[in-house]
Amino acid sequence: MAKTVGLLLAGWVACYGLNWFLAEFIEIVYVDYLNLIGIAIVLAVGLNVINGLTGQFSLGHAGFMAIGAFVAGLVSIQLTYGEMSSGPLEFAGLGTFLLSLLLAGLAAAVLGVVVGAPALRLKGDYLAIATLGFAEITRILLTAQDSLGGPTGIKRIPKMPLLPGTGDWDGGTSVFWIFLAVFTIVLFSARLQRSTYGRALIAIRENELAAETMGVRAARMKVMAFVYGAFFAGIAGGLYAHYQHSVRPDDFTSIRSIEVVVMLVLGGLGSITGAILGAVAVTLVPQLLRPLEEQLQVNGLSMVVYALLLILMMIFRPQGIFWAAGAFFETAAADSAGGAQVTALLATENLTIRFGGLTAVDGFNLAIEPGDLFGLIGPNGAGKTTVFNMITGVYLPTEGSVHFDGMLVNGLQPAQVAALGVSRTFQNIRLFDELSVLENAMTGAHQHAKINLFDSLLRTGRHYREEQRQRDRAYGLLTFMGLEDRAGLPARQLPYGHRRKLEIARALATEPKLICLDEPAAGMNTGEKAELSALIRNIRDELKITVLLIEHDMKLMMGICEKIQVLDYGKTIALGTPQEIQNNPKVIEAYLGGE
Amino acid sequence: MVPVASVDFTSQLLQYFANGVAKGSTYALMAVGYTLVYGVLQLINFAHAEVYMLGSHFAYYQAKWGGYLPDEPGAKPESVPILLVGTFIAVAMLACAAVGMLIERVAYRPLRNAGRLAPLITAIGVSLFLQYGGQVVFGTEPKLFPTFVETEVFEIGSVKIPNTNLLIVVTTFVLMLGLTLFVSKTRPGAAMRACSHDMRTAKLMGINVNATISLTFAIGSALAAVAGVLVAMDQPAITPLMGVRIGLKAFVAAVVGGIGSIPGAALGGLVLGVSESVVGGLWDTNYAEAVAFVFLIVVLLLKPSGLLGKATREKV
Repeated sequence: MAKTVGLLLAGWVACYGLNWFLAEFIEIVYVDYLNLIGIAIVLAVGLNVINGLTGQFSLGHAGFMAIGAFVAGLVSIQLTYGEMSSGPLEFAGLGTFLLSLLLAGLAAAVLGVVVGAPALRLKGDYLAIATLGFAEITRILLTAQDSLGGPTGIKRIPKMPLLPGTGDWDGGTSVFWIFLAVFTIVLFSARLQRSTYGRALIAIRENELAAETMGVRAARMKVMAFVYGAFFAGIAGGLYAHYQHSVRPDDFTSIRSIEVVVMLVLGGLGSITGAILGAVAVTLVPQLLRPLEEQLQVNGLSMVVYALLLILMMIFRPQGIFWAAGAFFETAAADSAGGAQVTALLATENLTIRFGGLTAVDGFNLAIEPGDLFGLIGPNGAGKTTVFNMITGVYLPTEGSVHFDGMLVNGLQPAQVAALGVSRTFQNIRLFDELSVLENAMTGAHQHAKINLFDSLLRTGRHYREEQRQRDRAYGLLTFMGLEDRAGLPARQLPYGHRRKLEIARALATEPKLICLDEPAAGMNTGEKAELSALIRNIRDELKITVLLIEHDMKLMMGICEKIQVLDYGKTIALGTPQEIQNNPKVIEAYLGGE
Repeated sequence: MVPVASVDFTSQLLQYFANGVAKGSTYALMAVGYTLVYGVLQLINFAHAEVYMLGSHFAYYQAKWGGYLPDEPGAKPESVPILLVGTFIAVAMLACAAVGMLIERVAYRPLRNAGRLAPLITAIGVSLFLQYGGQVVFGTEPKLFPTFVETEVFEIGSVKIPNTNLLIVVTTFVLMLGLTLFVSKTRPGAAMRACSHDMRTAKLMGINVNATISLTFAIGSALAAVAGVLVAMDQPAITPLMGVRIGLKAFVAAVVGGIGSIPGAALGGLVLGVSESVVGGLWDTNYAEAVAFVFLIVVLLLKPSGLLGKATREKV
C-alpha cells in the first residue's frame, strides 16, 4: 500500500518532468504523436486484460471510449462555461477535470456491465461480433442525438488544467495527464496479472470449464475483466476529448476498435509490453509515413504502406512481437460416459439425463458415505463421466436429484458446487497450460480468497498474506503429489503422467470434502499406476477426503476400492465389494458379452 | 431508392418493404461470400467488402475504356448495348474471382495453421490495403457510374418499383438458387461442404483442400462483383471506400442468418434490408443504421448460431 503511494508519486514526478522537458526542448508535432501514443496505450493495455488475459475476444472498445469522451466533454463544458455557448477555449479547473475523467470511466464501466453481462455468455467470434454491434449502436445513437451536436459532435471541450511550473506552450499539461494515466493503468494491470484474480482470468482463458469446476466464478470474473477494460477505455476517451477539444461520434467507429485489437495482436496477445509496443507501432507508423506521402503527392500512400507492413508482419511473425498467450480459441473436445442410495455425503436419486432421444443415464442412484473410497466402473459409453458432469454442475439432469452434504446440488453452477466441497479431475486433462505448475494448483485455492480486487491492485498486506496462503497450500499439495521440484515449469511442459497428478493437486487445493477422479490412471504404465494407487489411498487416509473414482484398470480398482458400483447403458447393474463384483454374472456379461 | 409520396400507411409500408427487398438482396449477395469463407476457414474475410468495391470499379473502367462514359459532366451518356453490359459484368466477376483467390493465396494460406487471430489481422490489412490502394489508383473523388439500363418505374398498385430494383432482386434470386444447386449437387460443391464440415478429414479422403478453398473465394468474390455492379447501377456514385458500410452490414446479415448457411445468408440479408428500409422510412434514417446491430445482438443472445444455423455442443 505504502509502496503503491510511493510508486504513484514517483510516476507523478516522472510525468511532470517529462512534460517540462518536452515543453522546453521538443517540437509540438512530436509531442502530439506522443500523446496519441499514450492514449492508445491506455486503450490497448485495458483491452489486453479482456482479450489477452481472459481470452474473451472483445471488438467494441471504441464504444466505451466514445461514452467516456462524450461524458467527460459534456461534464467539463457544463462546469466550465455553464452552457454550450461560443467563445474562446478555456482551461478546465483541476476539480472539474478530475471529476469529468472519473465520471467518464464510471459511465464506461456501467456500459461495460450492461454489455458484458449478456454478451459474455457468447464465445469466440460471436462475442467479438456482438461487442462490435454494441459499439456501433452506441456510436449511431450518439450520432442521432441532436442535443449532442449530431454527427458533428461536441466542441469547445476545455483544455486540461494547468499546473504550477508548466509553462505556457501549446502542449499544456497534456503529456503529464496522459502519461499519468498510462503509468497508472500499466501498474494496475501488471499487478492484476500477478494476483489471484489474474490467475483466475488466465485459468478461464486456458480452460473455462476446468476453471469453473475449481471454483472460479467465470461469468462474474469475465464481467470484472470487461468492466476493468471499459473503465480505462472511458478514461482514455475523456483524455482524448480534453486533448482534441472536440469529439465526433465518427471518431469512434468500428475501425478504431479493430485498431486496438491490431495493437494487441501485433505486440503479442496477453503481454503488457506487447500491448505498449503495439500501441506505439500502430499509432506511429502511419504518422511517420505521412511525409513520404506528401513528398510523392499520392493521397493514401502512407496507409497502403502501413497495411502492407501489417500483412507482412503477421505472415512472418503471426504470434506477435511479445508472444505470451497460448493458441487462441482452441477448444479441447472430450469423451463422455456414467454410474448407483441416500443418507450419505453424496447421494443421487433417480438421476436421469437425456440428450435428444438418447438416455445417457437412467434412474441412477448412488450413495457415498464420508470416508469411502468408492469406485464406479462400466464399459465405454456406460455413462460414468456423464454422472460426474451432473454431480459437478456441468450438466443439468433431466430428472432426479443430487444431494451433497444434505444440500440439493442440481441446478447449481460448477463454481457453486466447487464451493460446497466437490472437486474433480477430467478424463481428458484440462490444465491451464500457460500457467506454471504452482499457479495451476494455486488456482484451486482462489475460491477461498478473502480479499477484493482493490487489495490486489493496491498491493495491501491482505494481498500478500493471501498470496502466501495460496502458495503454501499449493506447494504442500505439489509435495504430496511428488511434483514439488516441477513447481516453476509451465504446465504444458509436464510429461503426461505428471499432468494427471497436477490435476489431482489442483483439485485438492479447492479443499474438497469429496474428490471425483475421472480415469486418473489412463495412459500410465505399471510403475506409475502403482504409485498412483498409493497416492489415491493417501488422499483418503491422510487428507481425510472421500474419493469417488472412475477407472478402467480393474487391477487398480479391485486393489484400492472398498465399494464398487457397475454401470451399463446408463443403468446400475451391480453394487458391492470388489470380490462380489468380480463374481457377479451380470458384470461379466456386460464386459465380456453374454450367451 | 424511391421516395415515398404521402399516401396511406399500408401502401407506404409496402413501398418500404419493396425497397427493402432490393436492398436486402444486395446484402444477401455479399453475405454469401462471408458465410462461405467463414464456413470453411472460420475467418471473417474483412477484405470481401473491398472485392465488392473492385467489382464496380472494374465495370466502370471497362465502360470508360469502351467509350461509354459522358465526355463532360452532365452530358447524356451513350447507352450501352445489353450484351456488352453482360460482358462487362462477366469480366468484372472473373477479375474479382481472381483477386479473391489471390488474396487467399497471399494473405491467408501462409497462416492457415497459425491460429485464428493472425489471419484476422491480415484480413484487416488486406482490407486497408485495397481501400487506400484504391484511393491511390482510382483517386478519392466519387466516380459517376454509367447508366447501363435506362430507368423505368413499374407500378403495382401504389407501390413503385424501379427496373434496377427488379433486376437486383431477380439476379440475386437466380444466383442464390444456382449457388445452392452447385453446392448441393456437384462434386466441387460436395468438396466445399466436406471442407466446411471437417477440413482434416476431407484432406484424408483425398479432397484437394487448397483448390476447394480457392474455389470458395472465387465464388464469393464473383458474387461480390455482381453486387458491386448492381448497387452502382442503382446508386451511381462509386468510391474506394464504398465497401466499408455494406461490408459490415452484410457480415452482420450472415451472422444473423446463421454463419455457414447459404439460405441463412439470404434470409439474414432480406431481414436486415427490409427492417432497415421500414425503420428508416417510418421513423428515422439514423436509427435505421442501428437496426442491423440490434438484430444482431438479439439473435446472438437468443440463438447464437443464427436463425438457420446449427448449434454445437462441447463435450466434457
